[in-house]
Amino acid sequence: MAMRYKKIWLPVLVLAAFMVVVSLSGAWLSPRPARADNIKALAALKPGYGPVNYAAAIEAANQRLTLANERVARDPAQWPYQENLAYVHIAHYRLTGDYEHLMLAKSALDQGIKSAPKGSGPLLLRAALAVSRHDLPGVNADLAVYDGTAVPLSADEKSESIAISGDTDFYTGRYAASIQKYQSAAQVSENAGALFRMGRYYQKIGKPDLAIAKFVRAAQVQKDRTPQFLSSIWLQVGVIELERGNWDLAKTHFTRADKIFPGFWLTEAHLAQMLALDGDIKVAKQRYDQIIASSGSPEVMDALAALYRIEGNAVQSRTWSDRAGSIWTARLAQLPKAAYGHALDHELVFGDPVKALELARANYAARPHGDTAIMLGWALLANNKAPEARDLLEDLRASAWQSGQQYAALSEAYAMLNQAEKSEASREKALSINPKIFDPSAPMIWFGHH
Amino acid sequence: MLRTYILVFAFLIALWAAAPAQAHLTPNSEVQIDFGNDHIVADIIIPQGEYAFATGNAVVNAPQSHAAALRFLQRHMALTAPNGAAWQLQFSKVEFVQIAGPPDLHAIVRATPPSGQSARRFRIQWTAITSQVPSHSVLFVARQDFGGGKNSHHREMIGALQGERRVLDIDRGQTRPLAGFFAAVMLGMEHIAKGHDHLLFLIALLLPAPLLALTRRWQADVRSAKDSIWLIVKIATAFTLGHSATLIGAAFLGWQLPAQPVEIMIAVSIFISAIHAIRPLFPDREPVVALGFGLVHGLAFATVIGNYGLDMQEKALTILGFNIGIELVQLCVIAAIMPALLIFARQGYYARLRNILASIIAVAALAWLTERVIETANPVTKLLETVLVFAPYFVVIITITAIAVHFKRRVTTQ
Repeated sequence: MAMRYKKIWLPVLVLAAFMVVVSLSGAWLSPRPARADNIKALAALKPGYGPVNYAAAIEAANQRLTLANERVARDPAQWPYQENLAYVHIAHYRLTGDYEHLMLAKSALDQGIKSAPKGSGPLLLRAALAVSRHDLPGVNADLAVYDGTAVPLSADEKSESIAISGDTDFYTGRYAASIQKYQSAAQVSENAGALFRMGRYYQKIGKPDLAIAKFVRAAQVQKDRTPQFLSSIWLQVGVIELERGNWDLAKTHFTRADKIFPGFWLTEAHLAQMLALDGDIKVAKQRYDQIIASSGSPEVMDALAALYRIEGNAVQSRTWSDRAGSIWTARLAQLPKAAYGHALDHELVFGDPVKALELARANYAARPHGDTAIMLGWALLANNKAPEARDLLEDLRASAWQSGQQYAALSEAYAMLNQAEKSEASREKALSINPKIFDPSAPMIWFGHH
Repeated sequence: MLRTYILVFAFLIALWAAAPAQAHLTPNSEVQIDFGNDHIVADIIIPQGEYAFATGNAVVNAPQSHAAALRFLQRHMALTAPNGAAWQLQFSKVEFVQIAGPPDLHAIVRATPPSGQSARRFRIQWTAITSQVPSHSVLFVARQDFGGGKNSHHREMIGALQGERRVLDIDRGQTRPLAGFFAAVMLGMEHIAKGHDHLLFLIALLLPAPLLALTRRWQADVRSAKDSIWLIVKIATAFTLGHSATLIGAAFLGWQLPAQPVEIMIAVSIFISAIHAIRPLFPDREPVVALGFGLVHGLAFATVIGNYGLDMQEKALTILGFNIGIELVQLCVIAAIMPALLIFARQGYYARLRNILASIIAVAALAWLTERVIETANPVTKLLETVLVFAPYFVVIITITAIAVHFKRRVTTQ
């Protein structure tokens, strides 16, 4: 009899052990193969040259700035010197987020174009800078002159020019035209610029895996890969995971970004936010404090204020939001179009909804595309203008743009209009894009939540 | 060289501003409403941080903090009938508690309309947090409405208020007799039809029903069809009695267990039943075991409908309807597999067939068990969910095969 029972239980135990192994492998197998392949390909890339961390990058940027200024001081009429100075300022801005550098870059480029023979000069860089400053009028004019230059353009130059033109389409809601131009740009020269833009396009039309594939390809084709560049790709891929609710995966990618280019305040801010999402708010606040001390970033001040608000600490929340608010006000004076989005978001969360709406309308007028439409939608809702918000967001729904946020806002608009079924349908759509969009902890996401 | 260098990075300038501007979600409140015949119950959830941010009040679980929160809610919430008469609000709970994510201010209020006014048509005036923090919104959701035929888990949005928008008119329409009861029947059917684990448990218990056990092994001799059917009726009835008992206990006596251990016990029950189908562990006592495990399965059902119904009559009708829904599907399943089971049980290869089916069920049970213990989905459960969607087709194929086997056997015998 005992033998008979042994015969029964042995296969059962073997089966049980097999099941445990198979089940535990589930977590490992969970990422979809295409995504896993792309991440594997990205992980295989190593940075080529350049500063190995943020401190080194700042030091190098400062040295280059000193040198560029010396060159310009020696011969201000040489437009390549002005272009170089502008480039160095822009590189500085990318590291620090300081608007002063954007203004000085613009000034140098204007001076360079003034000094250059007619139809030449740093037109391409000025067009790229204008897109970055959210100052779209004039971009195509610069590009037209640039394309008509007497000196034949290289494939990379031609590609970049087409891609920048695609940017103006993208930021004015002409998405089909933008992707066509990005594809044309990639055909002329498969470079990181065109591929990165295609990635962003797919990210915004709700095709995250395709977006990741393009970002990874952008990293692959970039021959001179700096740690900062590669880190930025990881950051971007992490943001995509954040947008579809894969918080753990996002954290993994942000950690990778930080390892590749340590000390960058923006990556550190993303990581601090993930700590908050993990429930470690105390440490997250400490990190934000440290980042503010080193970078003075108003975005991080707002993120810290939001954390204090979630904790219910009104005094600290208002202290930090006020500090951020004064910086946004100054930036609005410096570069209004570039600052609209940040300032309105600050007003929407911490300040005056009427002022937020003014800024949102101006922001949308400057760049009428999905991101600005969503922000305008929220601002309209905060000002009891649900019908206008609904119309705006319905127009967005009819376009190629697809994001969890737009459906969350649309759901809210319909709820305020007592249209329950449509509100539910929009809510479901938002959840299908980002299953964690309505998670009670989601308001702690300040960086990378589109 | 310099020009190339600049060109290479031109795109970075356009794309990587330090941190792109974006809209941020803010923590919002939610009010879940249960609609009864003569009153409503509102479950109010306000993020604790938003409450403290807006009021500066303390957020500790102490009588003074609770009293301050109660005063705040009373000041900022009012219900009125269409004629303008105020409803009576009776708060039964005010607490600071962690429900999901960061902690919340949680309150439960019973609201009763003035005499002669409907509990289904009223106006909510709400300014809690929304008037102090313009970016804060409050969402009103119908959780249950027996008279309106809503007693499922599916949320039903009513409306939202934010900023200057402070009034929400609610009209749930006329009550429909038995609408809630029929909704409960549908919910029971839906739940059991999608609850593959419950059905596999039942099937595992039915597999050896036509067989006799001797010396700890299932014998080739089979019970008569009448005895088999009688045993199956007893198993199904015992299972029903078991889960009904815990459902009633959950609804009327507040019996509750956390979902995870209940789900784990269900997986264990399926595994044990599957092993029993291979080798008799409790021969002739299947109904008793079905009764015991029915109690466990009932605890899982209770998580679906345990809180439904605002009064005794609604609760009773909901449980009755839910049970009827479950029974209807169970009877359909038994009716569908019974012919095949009785026919195959008389075939020489039934022992092998039974062992294969029971082994598959055992594997499924282990997969569910592991998933529920480590709280991570695994490939086997994913595969099961995909395959079991097609279960009705398998039953049809098996039944046709069984009928073919039966007729072939008759022809051969003749």
